[in-house]
Amino acid sequence: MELRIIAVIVVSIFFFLSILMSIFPIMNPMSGHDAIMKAMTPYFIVYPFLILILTMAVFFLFKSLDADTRKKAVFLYVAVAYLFTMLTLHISCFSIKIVSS
Amino acid sequence: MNPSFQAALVINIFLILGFLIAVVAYREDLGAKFSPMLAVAAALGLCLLPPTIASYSAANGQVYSFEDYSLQNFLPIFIGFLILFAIYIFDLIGGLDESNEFFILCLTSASLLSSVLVYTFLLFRIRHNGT
Repeated sequence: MELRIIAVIVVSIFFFLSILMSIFPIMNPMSGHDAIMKAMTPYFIVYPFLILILTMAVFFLFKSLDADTRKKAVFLYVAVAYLFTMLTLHISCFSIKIVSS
Repeated sequence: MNPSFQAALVINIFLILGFLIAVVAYREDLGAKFSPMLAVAAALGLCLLPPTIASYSAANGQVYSFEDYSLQNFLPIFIGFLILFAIYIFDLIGGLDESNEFFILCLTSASLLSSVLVYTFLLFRIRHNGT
């Protein structure tokens, strides 16, 4: 396998582990986290498949475009994902403030 | 601050600086050969930063590293975006390679779905724990 592909896979796995490992220190069985993890287990199982399906769908969609338009489309996809994440962060901060006040 | 935590932070900062240098040096004649390797090593270092902060704050008896715990959960996703933008700079300088393009799409999809995962976790936490 090409070294570059291995690097891509390693970075992707580390990225996923990074997300899990920054959630796990919050875990506390006394505050219902066991129930949360039980409820989220199906999502954890399908998560890699969802990523694969979404990536393949977008990849084949963009493949039909010419090189210049594809470059813009990839940038637009990253920008939309970034905005979506920012929006989710703000909504979650807002939800926590509403609940705790 | 805990000395081992300081050491972990310093190592991470060096890795991040290496990452930035790798991005800048990519098209230079000397840097072109080793900089992609350096960039991968630094990306791994970047991925280690949020768990390091979270683990040390948990070890010190403090559950959250930040005032608002949603920031702690979203930090890895923003680091994912940092890696993405850096790779995008690689591409703008060196031309869009197909494996790079696939990596960008893969990491973007992962970040998109991770933000859904983190938000689901927060909603469950509010439901089960109150805050």
